[in-house]
Amino acid sequence: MTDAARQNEGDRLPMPPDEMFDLLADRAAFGLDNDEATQLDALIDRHGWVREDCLDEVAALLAVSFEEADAASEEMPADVAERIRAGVHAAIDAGDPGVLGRIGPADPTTGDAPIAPAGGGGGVMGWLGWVAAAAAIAVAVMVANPTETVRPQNRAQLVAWIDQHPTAVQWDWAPGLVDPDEDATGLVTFDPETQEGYMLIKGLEPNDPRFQQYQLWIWDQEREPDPANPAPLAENVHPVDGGVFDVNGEGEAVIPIDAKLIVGKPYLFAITVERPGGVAKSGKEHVPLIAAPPSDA
Amino acid sequence: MVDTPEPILERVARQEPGAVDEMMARFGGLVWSLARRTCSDPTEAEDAVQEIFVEIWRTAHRFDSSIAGEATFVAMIARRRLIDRTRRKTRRPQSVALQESAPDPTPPDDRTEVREQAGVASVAFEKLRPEQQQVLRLAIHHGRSHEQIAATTGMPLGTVKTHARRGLIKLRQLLEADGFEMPQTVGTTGGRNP
Repeated sequence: MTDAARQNEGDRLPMPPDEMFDLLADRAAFGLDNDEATQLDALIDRHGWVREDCLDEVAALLAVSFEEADAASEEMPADVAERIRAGVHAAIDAGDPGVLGRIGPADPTTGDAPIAPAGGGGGVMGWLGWVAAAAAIAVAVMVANPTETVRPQNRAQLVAWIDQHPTAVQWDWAPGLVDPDEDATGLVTFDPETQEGYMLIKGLEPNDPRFQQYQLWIWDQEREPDPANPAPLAENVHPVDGGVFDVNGEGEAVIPIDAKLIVGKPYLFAITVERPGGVAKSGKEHVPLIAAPPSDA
Repeated sequence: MVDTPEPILERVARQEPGAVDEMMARFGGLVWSLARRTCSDPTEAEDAVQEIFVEIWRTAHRFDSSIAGEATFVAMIARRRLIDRTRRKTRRPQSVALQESAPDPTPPDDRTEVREQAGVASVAFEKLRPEQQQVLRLAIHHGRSHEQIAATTGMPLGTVKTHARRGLIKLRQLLEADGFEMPQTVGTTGGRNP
């Protein structure tokens, strides 16, 4: 059945294809591989009024039901619970803005300290909450993987990290193509082997996360329809979402990259300005920074 | 009648003192159980649970009680994280190892909401076709991939997926028909996850 044939007479929204619900169900039950995830992202972009977590909720509810009914469910050991509790609090308490993807003054008050919601009741998490949340993720990773290298938090540590990751690409930021930021500087580095990466950014214009956030995009040559001839501006080329982040005030910060899909061979990075939470596919109306290999590379 | 506890996730989002501990006490058992079913060993499960709680803490402000119950919200984030970890590491789910430590003495209090949600889902689940029940139980409760389910049950791969898809969609329809609070699948405020 075509989209046109599935037209909803009430609001003129074309009903999404069955394929979209198939993928939503597959994701809820089994997860998706990279190709399927890309396919679903494209469908979600075209049918943005569909609640993409509608079947995730059903699966989650079912999971709760199964666990509740299963007498054999394993209880969390007390020592494990204590370690997790300590780890989560350590993550929350480590409110170092240098780690977080937020540039600006640090507020020493973190963790469970009360904050005023930035967007009203149940609304957008405030500045402090975001700071602590992002730090939490950083520290959680470190706690969970004690044998891995420490996440770099400043330029010197990032340089050391790059030295330890010879397979990582490393390119300087340059003004983007649309609304370029001529003042921002820094670099982006990503190691396809470990799927880790960081942005060093200085001087990017602050954003108000209630209205917009910065989002990183990574073009992966291995995802190109024609890998030998990458075409970042082609309609059928979709960069990988590298995560959203915020900037506040002046300063320099190391921001971890949160690639949503495996990136095999990055060849272009771009920062766009998007709505809070980011988007699945950027309209690229604002692209303040890009990073690519030097032309003589 | 037991009073329904105040939504802890809203308090977590407000960064109220003690709210994080309460959240972990309330949902620790659920998240741990989910993690143990998909993680290969207790250490990995421990890492996963910590990661999940940090993620819940980070996204608690997005919890909307008009859309999902707290346990469902928690389980949804947990499942996403666990599926993502499993796929990234391409590890197969393994059977639960024998427990070596004493269980967390934290009393399983504040479970009213969990039981209510579980009860509603259980009734609806029983209305599904047996093969749909079988596939969904293996996928969601035991963390089996569709390939593993096909190998275990002898069903063709496509049939496994079809049962899972139709089962989930049917379940949603049943829950909506039963008046269980679920947001519209299609609406003007739909869209992407956080």
